[in-house]
Amino acid sequence: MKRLAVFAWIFASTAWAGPRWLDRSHEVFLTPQMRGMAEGLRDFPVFWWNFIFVEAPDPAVSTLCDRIALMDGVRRLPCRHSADEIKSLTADWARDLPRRRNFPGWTEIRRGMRETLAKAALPMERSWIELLRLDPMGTLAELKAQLEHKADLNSSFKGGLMRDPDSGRVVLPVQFSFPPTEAARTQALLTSIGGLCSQTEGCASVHVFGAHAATLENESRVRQDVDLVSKLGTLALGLLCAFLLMTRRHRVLALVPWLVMAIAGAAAATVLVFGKIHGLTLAFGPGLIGLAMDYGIHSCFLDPRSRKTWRANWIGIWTTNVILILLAFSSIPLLRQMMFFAVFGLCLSYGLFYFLMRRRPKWFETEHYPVTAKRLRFMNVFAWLFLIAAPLIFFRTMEFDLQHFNFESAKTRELREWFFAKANAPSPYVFVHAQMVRLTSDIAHDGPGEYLPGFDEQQSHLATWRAALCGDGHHPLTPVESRFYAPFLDTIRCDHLQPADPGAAPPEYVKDFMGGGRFVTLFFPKDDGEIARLKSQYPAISSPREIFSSFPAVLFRELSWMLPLGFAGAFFLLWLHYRHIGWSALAVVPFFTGLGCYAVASWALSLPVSFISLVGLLMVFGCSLDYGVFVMDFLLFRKDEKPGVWSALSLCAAATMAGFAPMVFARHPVLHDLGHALLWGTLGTYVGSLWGTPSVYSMWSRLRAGWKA
Amino acid sequence: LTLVWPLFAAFSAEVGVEDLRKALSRYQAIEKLDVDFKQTKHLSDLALDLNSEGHLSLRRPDHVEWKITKPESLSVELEGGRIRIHGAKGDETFDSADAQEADRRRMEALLNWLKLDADAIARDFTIEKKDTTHFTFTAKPGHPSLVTALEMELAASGHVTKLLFRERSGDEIRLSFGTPKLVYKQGI
Repeated sequence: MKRLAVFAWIFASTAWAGPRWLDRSHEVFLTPQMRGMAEGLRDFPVFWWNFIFVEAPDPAVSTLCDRIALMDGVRRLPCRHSADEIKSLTADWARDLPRRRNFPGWTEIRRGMRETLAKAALPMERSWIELLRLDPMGTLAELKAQLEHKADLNSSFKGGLMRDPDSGRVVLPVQFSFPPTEAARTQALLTSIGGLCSQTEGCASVHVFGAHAATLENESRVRQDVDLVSKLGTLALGLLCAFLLMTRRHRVLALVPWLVMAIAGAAAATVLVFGKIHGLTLAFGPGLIGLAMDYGIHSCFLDPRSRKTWRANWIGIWTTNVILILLAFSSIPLLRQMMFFAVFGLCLSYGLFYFLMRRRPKWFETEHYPVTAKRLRFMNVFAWLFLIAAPLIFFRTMEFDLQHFNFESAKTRELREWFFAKANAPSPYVFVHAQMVRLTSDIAHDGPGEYLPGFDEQQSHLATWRAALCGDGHHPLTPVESRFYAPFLDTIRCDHLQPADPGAAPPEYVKDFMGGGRFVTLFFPKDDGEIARLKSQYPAISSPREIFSSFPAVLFRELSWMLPLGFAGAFFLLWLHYRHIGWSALAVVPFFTGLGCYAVASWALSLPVSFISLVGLLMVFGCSLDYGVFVMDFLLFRKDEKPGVWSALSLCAAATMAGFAPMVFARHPVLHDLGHALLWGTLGTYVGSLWGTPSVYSMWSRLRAGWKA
Repeated sequence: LTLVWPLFAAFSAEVGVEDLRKALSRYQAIEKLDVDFKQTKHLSDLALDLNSEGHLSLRRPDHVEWKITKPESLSVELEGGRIRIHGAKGDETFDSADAQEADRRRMEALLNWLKLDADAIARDFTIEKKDTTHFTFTAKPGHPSLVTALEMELAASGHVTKLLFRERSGDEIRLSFGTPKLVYKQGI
């Protein structure tokens, strides 16, 4: 039944994928200060670059360059500048000369005109002549030099590509004409590039890596994983339902619709409060269902009318909530959102169960299974082993880097590592600004202001042109010059000498630096000294690498006080309940066995402990305290009653593990880490509840009796 | 018939590379060539003539300098698949390796003309001979050349005196050459 809810959740998540309220961005990991900048980066075409890795001889690479440059969706391919691309870039550039520069005087202009006329006399396409008619001053050469200088900032690339004679690989940078979020267009383009390689003689392989390719690879992986997990989960659900029906415990299934309703309500409340709900918060849903289900199953097997049952449930939910509420104060939006979702979902489901079970206990009341922990005494060894192994978790590799959540196939990973080892690919420092201004700095940089100055500077340049051209004087041109340069003379007509309209479409040559009505300038500091100078000049500046590497530091800082305080709070609640330090400590034993089991599994299977693993362990913490309280309450207050607690715990744990085991087969790091943390954590918790706590309890009781004697 | 036949022959004699080689025999074994030229580019839709003057210098195997002296100094150097334009404001360089396949072929075709390489010209153009000093060339189908047709006039001495390039756009370039200075390879 827990699985029914879990898979209803997964199916609902996939069916709803894509609406506006569903957030998939990485920005949800970032603090508000960092988020403002990171959020906008994807809007700027300057970040729409990918790398095509080709294994092919030079003639095949040349053919690929020719053909890829002409593909729909390719904005720029430095190994082959298409004539259309250059023409669209340069027409705007030539037209904006008076905005960019002071009037140079007629002597200078006429000399430029004569030189350009000489150039125009060479054999060339008519469209190039039209460009020359716009540009007597030869400013296109300046634009070309600026673009070449930009390309030279990365010394690994020559002629728009990087060749590695050792591996025989060629890397072609390519800029797409749409943002990485348009996965369908990326898919079509990558398929075409792959097809092109197979049609080109000598092309052995082609692989694309970069912003678009990574987004597509992640989305495809999640889709495939959810498909796999759904199939395996459906199988597990079917088997569990069949078991419940065959053993005539079908009343437990009555919990499922109410639980799904409560969690859906929690998701809706999250959307209302946060505006959106992140995919990872939804992925948290199955874990939440597992947690919320515990109180229902516990009540089904231990008399829903009993005050003792609900007292144990009450302590269970608040020991869980205390840490969830504390984490809700994190500056990381994802944690805040997840914790709100969890606390709201837990409370709502608890309220619904309480209301229904107190009024209609017969709908839910179920006879327990004839199972007790005493039957498998050898499990005590595992319980002790896991308990002792718990500290091992601190010796596991902590993987808090955001890059860890980015799924990469083995091939992509190999190429990325190879590329960053070979190429000089610095992470630029990014400064986002509302106005198009020229930023002054002696540190290498590139931005819109390097091409078109700000409004005031444009005005100042235009004033010199107006002073020279808008009086009574005539221009001293020959009839041939007047006729040939008619398009240029039109751009410097008095009524055209106006600054660029901020509301109009931007010129083609600065479009890379514009997005969402804002502008971006990139800086390329060479060393730490330049970085420090840059930061003192522009305090808001940061690099994508810095933004993402800030996440582990912030997370570590927050967890270092939230987790101890949360544990202390939960322990204080246990103490309030038992008024005995020893009994309170015994209720925590299942958590430590869960932690120990996960530590052993992560060591044996070489699993990294990531942010998502920690989120999974939080759910385990919630479950384990519930289990611990249920067991301790049973041992202390209800030992002579029917032993329904073992059935309840077994069913809770079996359903949770069956639900999360399929996630272990997922290859996306988020689902994979969550699956492992919950599977092994729940297994250890289960062992700790049934054998760990009773075993320590009986040892404690014997020791106490000995001391008293 | 005796009177009319030569007229027909003058309009329809398609010839092979051998004839062209023979006509350009003076250029086939040269090491250096220097010649002054006058050029008029006619922009058909503007009905405008752009006049210029300059000097062509060829150094075998593949260095060509097209230097314009009037109306303003500008020189274009072609060497090893690279075009370098020297102007008053500095140099501009274009590498054929970075160009589209069609652009590369256009550049090659142009270079073949400036070098007067008979074999290479014959690969790209169908050659017709009007008389011993007049040849016309038509770009073969599928060739991406900017120039669709050419006319070449030779002096009695075998020097090229006039070239007329007809571009796809309808524009024309007329070139008149002076007497060239030729330096032949040693032993020839």
